[in-house]
Amino acid sequence: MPNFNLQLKRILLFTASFLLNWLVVAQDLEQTYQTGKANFTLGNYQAAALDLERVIFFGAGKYDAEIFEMLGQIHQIEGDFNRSASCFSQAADFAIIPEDFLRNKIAQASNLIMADKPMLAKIELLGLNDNIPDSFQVKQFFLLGVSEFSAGSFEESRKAFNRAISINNPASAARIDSLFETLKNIKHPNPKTARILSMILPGAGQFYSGDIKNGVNSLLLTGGFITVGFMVAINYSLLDSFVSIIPWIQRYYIGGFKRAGNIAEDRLLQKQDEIYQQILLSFNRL
Amino acid sequence: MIPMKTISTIFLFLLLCRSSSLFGQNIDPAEFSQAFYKTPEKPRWEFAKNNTNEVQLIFSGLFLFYKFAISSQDSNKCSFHPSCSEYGLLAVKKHGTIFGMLATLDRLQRCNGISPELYEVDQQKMVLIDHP
Repeated sequence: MPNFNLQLKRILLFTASFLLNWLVVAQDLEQTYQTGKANFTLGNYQAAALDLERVIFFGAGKYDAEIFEMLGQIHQIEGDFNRSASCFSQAADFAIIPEDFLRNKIAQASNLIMADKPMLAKIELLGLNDNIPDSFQVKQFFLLGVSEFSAGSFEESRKAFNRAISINNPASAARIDSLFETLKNIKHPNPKTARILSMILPGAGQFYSGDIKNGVNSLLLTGGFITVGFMVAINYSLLDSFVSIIPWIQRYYIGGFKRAGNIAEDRLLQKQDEIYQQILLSFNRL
Repeated sequence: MIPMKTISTIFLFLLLCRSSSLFGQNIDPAEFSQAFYKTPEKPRWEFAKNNTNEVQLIFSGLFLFYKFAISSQDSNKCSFHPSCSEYGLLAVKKHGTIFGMLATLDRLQRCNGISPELYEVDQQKMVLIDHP
């Protein structure tokens, strides 16, 4: 005997699933894009990145420029400046309006600087057209100034900062020049001098650079090893002293003068950084 | 009573307004304050602070003295992460004094850079990884 009840259930189930399949529509790319955009706006960056990457993967390039720009901003907020620069670069490639292109190129360069790649940033900035609007030109030359300064090209940096500040505030150009003049005169401590001083007397280079703690440390350590070396040579033999102590003296003597050079370099950078901070203060929000 | 549809329309409108403002990226010069000089991070050896007995306390003291007074003056760099001195203290803490010291002696023998293929490489620091 066929079970009519069961058959009826099956028919009902089939009909219901058929109707559901017909009525319910899965989320399309447009909706995924809107969800991603809403998540981005609300600050749910991880969820937004997931949605937006899905749209890029399945989409036909409809929103690529906007999506890459949003992804660039997401990675920038998360501190992943390399990925952010890469996203802004792609956003610039997909941009149709020149303003979008420029905005993304500037953002790319800015992220390259943050990712410690000032020379790559410089390439991107110098690749921009000369006839761009002033609002972008200020940013272009400001970032160029930062990248040149980071790379140690102070004269090029001065020119770029001057051009950036002259667009909106020509009166401040003189201040930039005077700051760079001060920068030119910062020559102390000289790393080479510090190294040579520590070669002559261990610790002297550190004292010269103003690092008393490391100077005393180096002097005592190397001096202690030299004393022990002499004592071994007197009490035992020169060979014993040479084999047991000389490698230690060599290690900390060479380490000492190399470190003296590094300390001097660090102090010099700190002094130059003080000027750099003053240059940044000359600029308002761009 | 405001209808739900009106509330959702206003919400969507505000959402769109906010998203369009995010696209106008401004540059804050202060963001680039670390572009030229980054203050070096001071090393923190947290594992040298949590000691459970006197032996660990002595070894931690020796380790900190070595790090501050001797290793800081040395230009050489250990080819491993953690470095040999860090490995020594961690090994003593993990395996006890005798086995820890034996493990440290073994590590000192291996710290020569002859067989890098035997270890994983820490890509950030470019040193070989070898935990006790």
